[in-house]
This record gives sequence, C-alpha cells and structure tokens, in this order.
Amino acid sequence: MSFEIRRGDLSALALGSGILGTGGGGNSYYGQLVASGVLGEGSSVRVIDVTEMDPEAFAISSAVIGAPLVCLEKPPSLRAMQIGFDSVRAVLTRRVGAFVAAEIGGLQCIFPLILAAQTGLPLLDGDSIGRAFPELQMCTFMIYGTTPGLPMALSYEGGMLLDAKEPRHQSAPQQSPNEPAGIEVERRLRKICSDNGGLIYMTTTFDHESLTRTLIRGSIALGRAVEAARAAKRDPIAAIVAAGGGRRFLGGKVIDVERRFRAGHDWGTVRLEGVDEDQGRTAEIAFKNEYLILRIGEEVALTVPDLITLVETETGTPVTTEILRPGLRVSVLGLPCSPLMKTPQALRAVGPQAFGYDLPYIRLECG
Amino acid sequence: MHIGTTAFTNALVERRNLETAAAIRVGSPVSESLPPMVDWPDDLRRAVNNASFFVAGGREYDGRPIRPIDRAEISALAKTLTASGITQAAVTAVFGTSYPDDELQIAEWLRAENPALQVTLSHRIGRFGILERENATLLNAMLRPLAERTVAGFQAAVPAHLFISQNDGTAMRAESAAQLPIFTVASGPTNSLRGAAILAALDDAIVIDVGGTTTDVGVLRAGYPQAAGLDLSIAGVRTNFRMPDLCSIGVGGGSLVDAESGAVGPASVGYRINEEALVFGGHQLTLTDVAVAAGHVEIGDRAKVEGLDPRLIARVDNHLRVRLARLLENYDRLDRRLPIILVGGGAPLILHLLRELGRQVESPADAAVANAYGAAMAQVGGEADLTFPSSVTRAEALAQVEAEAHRRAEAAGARPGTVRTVELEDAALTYLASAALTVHARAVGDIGQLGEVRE
Repeated sequence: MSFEIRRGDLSALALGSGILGTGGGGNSYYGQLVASGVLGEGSSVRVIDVTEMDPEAFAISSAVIGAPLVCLEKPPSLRAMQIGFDSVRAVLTRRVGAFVAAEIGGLQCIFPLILAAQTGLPLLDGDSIGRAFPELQMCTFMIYGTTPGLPMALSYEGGMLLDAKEPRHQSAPQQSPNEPAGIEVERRLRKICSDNGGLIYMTTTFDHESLTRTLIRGSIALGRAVEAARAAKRDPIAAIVAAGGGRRFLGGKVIDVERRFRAGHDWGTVRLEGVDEDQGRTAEIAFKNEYLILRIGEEVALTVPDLITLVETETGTPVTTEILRPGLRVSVLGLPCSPLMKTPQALRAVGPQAFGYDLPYIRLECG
Repeated sequence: MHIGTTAFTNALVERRNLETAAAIRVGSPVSESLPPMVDWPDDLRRAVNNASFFVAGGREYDGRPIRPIDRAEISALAKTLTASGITQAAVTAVFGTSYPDDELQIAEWLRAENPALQVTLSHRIGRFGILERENATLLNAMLRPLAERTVAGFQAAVPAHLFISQNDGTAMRAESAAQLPIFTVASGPTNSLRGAAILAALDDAIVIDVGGTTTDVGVLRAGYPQAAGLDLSIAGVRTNFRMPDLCSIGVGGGSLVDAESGAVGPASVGYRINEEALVFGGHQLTLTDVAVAAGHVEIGDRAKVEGLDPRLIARVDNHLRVRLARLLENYDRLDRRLPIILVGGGAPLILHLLRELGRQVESPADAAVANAYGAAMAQVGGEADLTFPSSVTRAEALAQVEAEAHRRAEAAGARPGTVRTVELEDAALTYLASAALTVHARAVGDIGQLGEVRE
C-alpha cells in the first residue's frame, strides 16, 4: 500500500511523529523547514511497503545522533547528510532501491525523506523503533541484528568522521554477552558525537532480508493517520486513540514537574490530577527524555516499550517533556508498541529494567 | 517618567519605516540549510529587501570554534555593505548566547571598516534557538533608525529621565530603547498583569482581566507573569520571546446573551457597546444589560432592562459560574488555591460569581487602569543565558548565571540592593556523554536614582 508525501503533508507528519515521540525528540520545526525547502511545489516522495522494494537492492538509512538542544543552534544540515550518503554510495555493490527511517519519533524520518526527494527513489513505510527511544541498542536493527559488514559512514557539517571505505571500522565491537546487543556501538558513537559538536549524521545500509525481518512496518503511515484523524474529528483524543489502537488513561492537568539531570539525560517526574470525569484520580509519569512509566494512583498502569503519550486535551497537540508546566490540561494516552518490541529479546533492551526500573513490563490492555 | 509605545509594533505590522538590514550568520558551514528569513512572510521579505551572508566563526556546545573568525572576510563584507548603502547589520553566531566573543569581535571589525554601520548582536536580543533569535535580531536592526527618531522625539518633548516599557514587564532607559526597540513591541499583556500585582499587593495570584469581548486569565509567580511555553510571533515572524501564559474565554461586557438559554458570548458588540446595549438604547442583549438588571452595576438607563425575566438572570449566572469554575480549575491543586485579582472594565460583572465559588477575590479600586499602572511602576531587569561543560557543577553554574543577570540588571539602571532573581532555569544538553548544561536567569530591581544609573 503505497502513498505520496508532498510538502503540504510535512506538518501532519511532524505532529504524528510528535505523538509517537512520547515526549521526546525535541523541536521538529527546523526539520520541517529544511524538508519543505527540498520538497518543491509539485514534487512528492512515494512511500512503499518493504514487500514492494526490489529484493536485490539496498535501502539506505540516514539519521542524526545527538542532543535535541544542540539541534536548536545547529539545524539539520543537508551538507552533512549528503557527505555521509556519498561516502556510502561510493562503495555499494548493489543499487539503492529505497531509503529507510531509523526512528519515527522526533521527525528523524525527514533525512531519508529528503534523500528520497532528491534522488526520486521511494521511502519505506517503517522504522526501527516505532516511537522514540534515546539509545541505539533500543532499535530493532540492533536488537535482532542486520547483515553485518554493509557500508556505514559518520559525517558532520565539517566533513567525514568515519568514511565507508575504511573497512576496519565496519566490524561490530566486542562486548559482554550480558548486555543488550549494540550497547558498545552506542557508547562509541556517543563519544564520537560528544567530541564532534554534539550532533553527528549516521548513514547505514540494509539489505532486503534484514529489513523484512526487523523493520517496524507502517509507522510512517501511522504517524500521518494519527494526525489526519486528529485534524478531522471534533474529539481529537478519541481520534488518536482509534487511529493508534490505544486507550485513554486520564484527562487531567499538570500539577507539578520535577526534573533532574543525570548522565546526560533529562530525568524527571510529572504529576497530574484528573478533571471532569476523572476528578479525584491522580497520575504520575516518570520520564527520561521520553515518558517511560505511568502510575494511576499507586498502581503501575503502563510501561515501556508501550507508548505513553501526552497531548493537549483541547487540541490533541503532543506535549513534549520540555513544555510540561503546571496548569497545562493534558490527556494521558497509551498506544501499543510493535510486536517486535515485546519479545523477551527486545524487552532486555527496551523494557522497564533497561531504563533502571525494577518493574515488569505492564502491557497495554485495550477495551 | 515612563512611556509605553506601540510605534515599533505598528511599523512591523504595517511594513512601514523599516530599514534594510544585512543578516550575517556566523558559523559556516553549520546552519547553512536554514538560511536567514527562511520562515518570513513573503510580503515582509519583499518590503525590506534584506541581504544575507554566511561567514566563518561560531562555536560548538563545548566552546570550541567551528572555524575561526577571519578578519579579512569581515572587512570585505563591511566594504560590500558600504557599497550597497546598507546601514544596519544583524550578527547571529552559532551558540552565540553561550559564547558571545565572536559576535563582539565581528562587530568591532565591521565598525573599524565602516564606523557608520549600526550592528545588532544576537546574544543581546534572544535566547537559545538560532532562527528565532536571528529573526528578532533582524527585526531589531530594521527598527533602529525609527527607534532613534522616536526616542529623540520623546526626549525633546519630555526632558525628564525617560524609561520605556519592555516585553518582560520591566522598563529600560530611553537610550537603550533606541538601540533595542524589539524589546518594547509586546509589553501590553505583561503590564496588565504586573499592574494587577502591584495594585493588589499580591505576588502569587490568578489575575482575571474582564474586557469588552474576552476575559483573559494569567498567573503571577513572585510578582511576574508565568510565561507561556510557546514562542511569540511578531508581524508573522517567529521569535523566541516569551509572552505571559494567558487563557482567554469569550466573555466580556459586550458579550451577547442568548435570551432563551442564558449562554454568554463569544459574539460581542465590542466597542459599540455604548450604542448597541439595551441600557444605552440599543437592541442587543449584552452581559452588561444583565448585570444592570441584577443590580451588580449602575450604568446606562436601568429602566430599559426592568422587564428582564429574573429566571434568565439566574440562567446567565449558572452558565458563567460553570465556565469560571472550569477555567479556575486549571490553576488549582487539591492542596492549594491561589487568590484572585480581578481587574478590567468588566470586573463588576463577575465579582459576585467568584465570591459564590468560595474564592478569595481582590478587586483593587483602580482595577480598570492596571495596564498603565504596570507600565508606570516597572522595574528594570537583566537576563543571562550561558552554557557550561560538565566540569562545572550545577550549583556553580546556577550561581554564575544568576550573578551575571544581577550584574546586567544593575548595568541597566537597577539600584544595587533591590535586585532579585525572578527566573532561574537550567536544561541539560541531553544525549551527550559529557553532559553540558545551559542556564537562563532573569533578575529585576527598582529603578535607581539619576546619579546611580550607569552603563
């Protein structure tokens, strides 16, 4: 089931990805501006399912690693993205069949979208997270592993950081078997990122077999559908819940927000009191960049990897952790994560314990 | 002497009296995919015909140069500006708020080459967020010649020591306003809230301002308005100035009342109330008419509403009570209810309802002129935004930025000893192994005596 994305669809895509972004991902305004500069009048990008992709071709992913706040001073760079793509393309042994997003949350999908617009190739409808997560070992590409040895490059505005033609860089680093796959890669990349201005561009290559096995399919269409439903309906909350197959937990207002910064992340707790039909109920949500654990009263009601998302009750606009403030009227929604995120293998990387909570995964029960 | 002015806002909205400016972005090749003015309305971009330049310089989050600034490049640029007759430059460096040295050095080099050039630096204007900060810096540059003329006019008319209201509720000296006119374009709502705080002598309260068409609600914390999370657009241009967090409902003195259900607004006769309301001989049933009939206010000709059904008055009260209760609920907690300061011309229309809801209400005698009072009683302030590496502890970082904000408040004319901190926020640059911290602080103080004011 393919569809087209035009310039006019970008704001819907951004809002949908904000809802799936579960409080993280930061500001998507600059990304939208850069993408709308590339997607000219009349041009469009075709979005296809992985089954529609040429099985003999490669798909290329382009994504940024870094701090959302740094993005506010260093907006998305077409140049940095192009340097990485050129480096990978120079050593590819097969043709490029499509581009693929690493993460739907936080509008990371604009990088492959821009490359698709520039080359006339399609974008795959899917990503490796289906929401937003802070670290690399939390994506399905890392959890399930993809064909090793395919070209990758790291770049920034100033040039190459890791050229795809350097073979010694391409093998996965050794790490303890007790840790989730890919955690050592995450540590190395985070270091390179910190040492090079806090924002780097990663270009990676996937074959068809890896993608059919690991891709969380349909997430681009879902982001759009969630926003389209929100825009069309009188009750935006009901529309989001229906489009995402989820559940409304509480309608309330923010009472207070407690933040602390530890090990490079924005940790905190937001407390809510119910209003109207939820009068007298309370909720508490723990976040680390994204919303992780939802308590209703004293009970744990929902945990990662399922999606805990906050939207403004009146408009259905997503509420990121940065804009939480007392008095804000919000609805707390739960949306189910992909089945690929619920296996024991995935839960090691993305369950509550992976975020330091001694809690079992409480999955979303609908209806 | 204090003056609030809308001259600069009007110039921007009407696209008149604006000077052509050069946008100089410092940080190439960083940020080149988002050129200056990329998100401006086409008509404004055409009207001012600004030029854009990217030059080397700017910093990374940790203070390392992206590329070093280059005197030859800046001198050549100054010559280009002279040749094209441009008199205003807006300089915006990547991470310029945290590391202002590049902007300062470039300004010095530009002026060495072209002493007549007026330079606005982004770190003096905005916060984190390069495009919004650059937008505000450019708007300021475009307004400067008009601001100089306007301030000179004020000073010729009023020889007193002159202060002008700014967006954040503080005031600045007229000479500063000539250089920083953008700080004065959105001072109205802030002045109303500040004035209410001073009139009621309450620092933490809900302020309800009942006007002709809407009722606006804001919150005071430590005497200053709680800021909205969203950025403010000025004349269609996005900036990172913060406005007070206001919530409005369509209820005011001129609101139309449904004679059957008692529902109020949002349609309103607005400023035509003196002709259209029943008590003024008109034919529209407004909230003012209902209030006159119920005896809450004495205005117009009461005889004209004598026949109003008391059951309708009760329905209007019920309707408004529910809406006010719902509005106030946004600000209440199970363990705390803030007092209310009721201001604006329509204050008497809802006073009885707020009391019925069991609220503590202050309705100061001069409530109708809270805005002017806020402007007149303004203090002066200073702001600072700095970034720190992980080697600096959070406590040290907070203390340093707070001290810098105090220093800037005193430089702006605050009397030493009266300066206090009203905002202190920190945010981590997340996802970096070497966690860095950005801190924002704002301090205010009473305006010093003439002799104490210093730069």
